[in-house]
Amino acid sequence: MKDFTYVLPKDAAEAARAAAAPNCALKGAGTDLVDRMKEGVTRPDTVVNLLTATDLRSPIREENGRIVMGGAITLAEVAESELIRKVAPGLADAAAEAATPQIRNRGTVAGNLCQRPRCWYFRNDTYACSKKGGETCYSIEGENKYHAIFENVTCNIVHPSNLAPILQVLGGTLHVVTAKGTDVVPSDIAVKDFWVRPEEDISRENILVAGQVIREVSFPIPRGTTGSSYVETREKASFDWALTSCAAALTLEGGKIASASVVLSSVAPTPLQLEAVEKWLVGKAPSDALFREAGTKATDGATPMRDNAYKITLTAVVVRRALSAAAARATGGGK
Amino acid sequence: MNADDPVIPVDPQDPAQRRRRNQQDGARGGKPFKFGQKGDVREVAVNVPPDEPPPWQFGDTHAVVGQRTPRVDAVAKVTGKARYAYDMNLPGMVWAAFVRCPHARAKVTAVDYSEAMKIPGVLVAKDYGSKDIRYALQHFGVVAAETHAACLEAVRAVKATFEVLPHAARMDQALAPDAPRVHSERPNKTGDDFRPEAVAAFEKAAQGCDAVVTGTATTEVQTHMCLEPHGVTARFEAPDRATVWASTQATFGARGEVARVLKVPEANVTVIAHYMGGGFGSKFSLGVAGAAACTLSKELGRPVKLMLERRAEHAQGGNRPSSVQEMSLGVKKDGTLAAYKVSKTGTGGIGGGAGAANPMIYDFGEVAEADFEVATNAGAAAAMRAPRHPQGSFALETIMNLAAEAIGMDPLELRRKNDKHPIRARQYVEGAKRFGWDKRTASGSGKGPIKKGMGVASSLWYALGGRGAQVLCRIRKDGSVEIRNGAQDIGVGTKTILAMVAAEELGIPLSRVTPFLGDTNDPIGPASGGSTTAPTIMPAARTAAFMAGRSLREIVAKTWDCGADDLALGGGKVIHLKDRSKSMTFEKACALMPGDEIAELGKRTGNYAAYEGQTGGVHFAEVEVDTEDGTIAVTRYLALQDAGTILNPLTAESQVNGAIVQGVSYALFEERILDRQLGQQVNADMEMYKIAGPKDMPRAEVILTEVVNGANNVGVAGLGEGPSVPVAAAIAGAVHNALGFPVWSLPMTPDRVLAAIAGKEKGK
Ligand SMILES: Cc1cc2nc3c(=O)[nH]c(=O)nc-3n(C[C@H](O)[C@H](O)[C@H](O)COP(=O)(O)OP(=O)(O)OC[C@H]3O[C@@H](n4cnc5c(N)ncnc54)[C@H](O)[C@@H]3O)c2cc1C
Repeated sequence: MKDFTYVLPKDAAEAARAAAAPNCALKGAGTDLVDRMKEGVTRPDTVVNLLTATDLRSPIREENGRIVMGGAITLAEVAESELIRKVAPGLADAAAEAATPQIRNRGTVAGNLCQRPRCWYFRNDTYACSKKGGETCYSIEGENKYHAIFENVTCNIVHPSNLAPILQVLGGTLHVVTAKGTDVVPSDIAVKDFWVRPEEDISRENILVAGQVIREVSFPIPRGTTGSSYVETREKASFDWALTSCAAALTLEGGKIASASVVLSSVAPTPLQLEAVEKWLVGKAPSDALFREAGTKATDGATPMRDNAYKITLTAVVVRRALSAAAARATGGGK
Repeated sequence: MNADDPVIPVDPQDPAQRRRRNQQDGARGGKPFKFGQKGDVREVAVNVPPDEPPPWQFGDTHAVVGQRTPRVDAVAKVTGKARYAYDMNLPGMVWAAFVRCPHARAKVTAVDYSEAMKIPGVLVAKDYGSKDIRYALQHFGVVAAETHAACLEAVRAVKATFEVLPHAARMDQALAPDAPRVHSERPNKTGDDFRPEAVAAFEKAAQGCDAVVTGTATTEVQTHMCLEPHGVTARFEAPDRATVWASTQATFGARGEVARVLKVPEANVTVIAHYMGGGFGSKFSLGVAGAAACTLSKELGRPVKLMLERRAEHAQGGNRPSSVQEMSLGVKKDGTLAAYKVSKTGTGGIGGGAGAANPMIYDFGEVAEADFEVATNAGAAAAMRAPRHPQGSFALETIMNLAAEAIGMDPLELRRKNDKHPIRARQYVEGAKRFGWDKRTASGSGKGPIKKGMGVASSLWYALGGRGAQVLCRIRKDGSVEIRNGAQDIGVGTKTILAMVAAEELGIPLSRVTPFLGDTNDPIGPASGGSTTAPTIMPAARTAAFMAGRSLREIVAKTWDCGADDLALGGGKVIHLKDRSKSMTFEKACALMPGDEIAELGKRTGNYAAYEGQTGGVHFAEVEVDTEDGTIAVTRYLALQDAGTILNPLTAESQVNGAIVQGVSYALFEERILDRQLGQQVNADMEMYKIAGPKDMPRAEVILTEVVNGANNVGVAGLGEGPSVPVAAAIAGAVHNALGFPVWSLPMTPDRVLAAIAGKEKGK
């Protein structure tokens, strides 16, 4: 790890100004960033520690029909929030399933959304992979058991964040501040518009640019007849990355699905909104058979590689399970 | 060390031979002692050597030994006070690290160290090791600097050019028709094919069988994943002394190596391993890191620390070889196993050493065996907790389950019928009752997506220890006691049982005894390999304490004007066996000593004729298989395990629990994944190299079978490896029972489980 300038900003505005410096890295808890620095994959000249910015620690609260929280709220705080558990249990589940208790106690919501992919070629600095500016995506010919089964064309990473699909399902918004000279301007980014596909820009996974900081994250409180869920499959029960994951929100009216939002993750470079499946679900009565069929539909168009075809089966499984859980919550079996 | 005290070989290839060598040659004229287990106590004649106490017998009761005793160093460990080799930060210390090649096979054609040398604090950046690269992350240079950070930056700054050559890092690559040769002088696949006579005998016997079942089991390479990587902190002291804090399983072996590397007398070298952060068989030598640190320390005249970084630890720290085991087993309706044919192929990387302990445990009748090794451009294998056994156990227990199904016999019955070991014979019965084996349902009969199953597998080990240890016992005038040996406690609780044995023999509370291990200035001890540490050291410890106690009794006898043999030690007192009115506290007795201390050296003598030459175990597992997402949860586990006299049930259970943890991990998760392109391990970290965590653990129960084995005066046998043998096999048996068919490859990850299910459905 090389020497760097360490900045301790007092708020998001100061952080954004500092972050405009060349080759600068923002640090939440650092559970992802510091790993990459140790591996030599990220070598910043300046590190801005967001944990000293007090407005990033604004508590989880209800405000004008939305749930709002600071970007540096921890995963543990999300998992344990009674408010979130009440209005959007899928988000609480997603936070609770991530990582280990130690990491959840430190890792932040914004950091979770912005964490870099876990691809073992990307994280090994001796592989000059295309994401790092090299010529090859080593996962095409190489070991791709955990890689993407959708949109795996240029770079086969999978999006690693548990919170990403569920915040997208909930219609979440990122409240960002941007340094423009000495000015700092706020702006909002819808979670669904946040992601960048490798074909657009292989070097990054979201639209943030230098000098931008996620100050807060929010989502509208779902209607009373909406149920949300997050379900993943994984190899180990104790801390493990999802093999496939699905977040869903279903609104039921008169025993029928009035609206559906379904997002897959861990299977493509970005979270995948399953619009076709959503449309197909609307107007139908929830049942196990329906959700099973939805699971199968969700795998349409998958392009598995040598070692990851099993993820197709596991995609169908998470979609079915997520929809069942969301439907159960919508009908009052929970929330 | 005397010439007649050979150090025990570390990785026993032929345990039986070693056992014979260590055994007393008959015990003519010996006294009879009672050894054995409940319901089977045998009288065995033993010539008790002159300075040794008579062996503990079946039915003896103890005051300290056998009590559940927390580790004496538990507090130091959990509070971070325990200092491991990695924790040693000496004044003036320098950090060192290797410069490595990312390719599995290459020639290092040019190296430019100039940029590295420009980094502030860098003292050395130079060639070190061969330029002929034969596995990825092999080192060819070394860097030393004032700080760890400068050291790692310097490694990055080294500019090397390689002539990259075709490699065969993976076994499939090495077996491909046009594969490059890993060792130029021989083909990649070598070994012993079937002997035609054995095959003929197998075929003949198979014809007489009612069923012949076949299957091919595969296991992947597992790495040791020691929390503390390989390495040392070395301090050369000019002109000719050295102290080395090593993460090692063999302090004395390391001492010899340090002496050779530094060209100084062994007597001038001290190796210290007070604490050790995991070895599992991979830390018997000083290793490349240790040798480099010693050399650099001499060169720089400063202490040097070199510990492998995590990726290199995976590549250079050793591993358990993979295996492919093709089996055919012939069985008769009555459960007689009559014909067995097994061909084994595996890779131990660049160093070799593959192989599987298959067959073992059961009587398989006519056996034909073939054994092949595949050389690969990958890090060398090393001994790993029960080398060759877990892989063999997984394969042969799986084919046994298939055989049982073929003849409609309960798999436990099939095992009982073909296993005559007296300890396991009892464990099968006790275990089945305890585990509720009668609740096991027919294979694959479960309804619904989550299927339950139960499995059983057996264990054996060969470790009764032998010559190769001396223990020093000192009784001080103030009544305190030291018990000293220079071997290491690799984390299993050796220090604790060392003190317990001394306290028992001297009849004093444990708190009065201070144990010392892990410093080669103390008397010789064994390498911790083959589960021999306790059975090698503890008898010598007991002898030392006995001799020191005898000296104390002699002193008291003078005062009381009687013979030393009229006196005994117990309950913190010296007591007169014939005149009960006479007794004296241990302290008072010690105050009588003429000098300041009594010091006696107890020596490990050869083994007595034991009750049983092999230890036994039977393990049971229960699983739930989710047939939708392919995950396996091990819900319950029961291990019945024998280790001779159980000195400390708490740490003994811990050993078995540790084996269960590692076994669950081996069964379900662990796999070295090598990139077919550069040949590097892609999951060489603690994140993607998956190790079982707390939520993956079953509710585990350990029953230590009481056996006083008698092979030595304490009767303790080794426990490090036996319990590691059958864990994956027992779990695989439970999965087989749940699904109705076996999953033939470890680790049983969701992709493999789903593939097995899909394969079965297609077959229907
Ligand atoms: C062993 C392990 C297991 C894990 N398992 C899971 C899992 O199962 N599921 C899962 O979702 N995650 C998992 N994680 C990831 C973990 O949740 C993230 O590391 C954590 O949430 C990141 O938070 P952080 O605050 O430490 O981020 P940091 O490491 O500080 O930052 C991560 C990235 O986000 C950027 N960033 C941080 N804050 C902001 C901000 N306010 N504005 C703009 N950019 C910002 C940083 O610049 C950096 O690029 C695991 C991590 C580990 C180490």
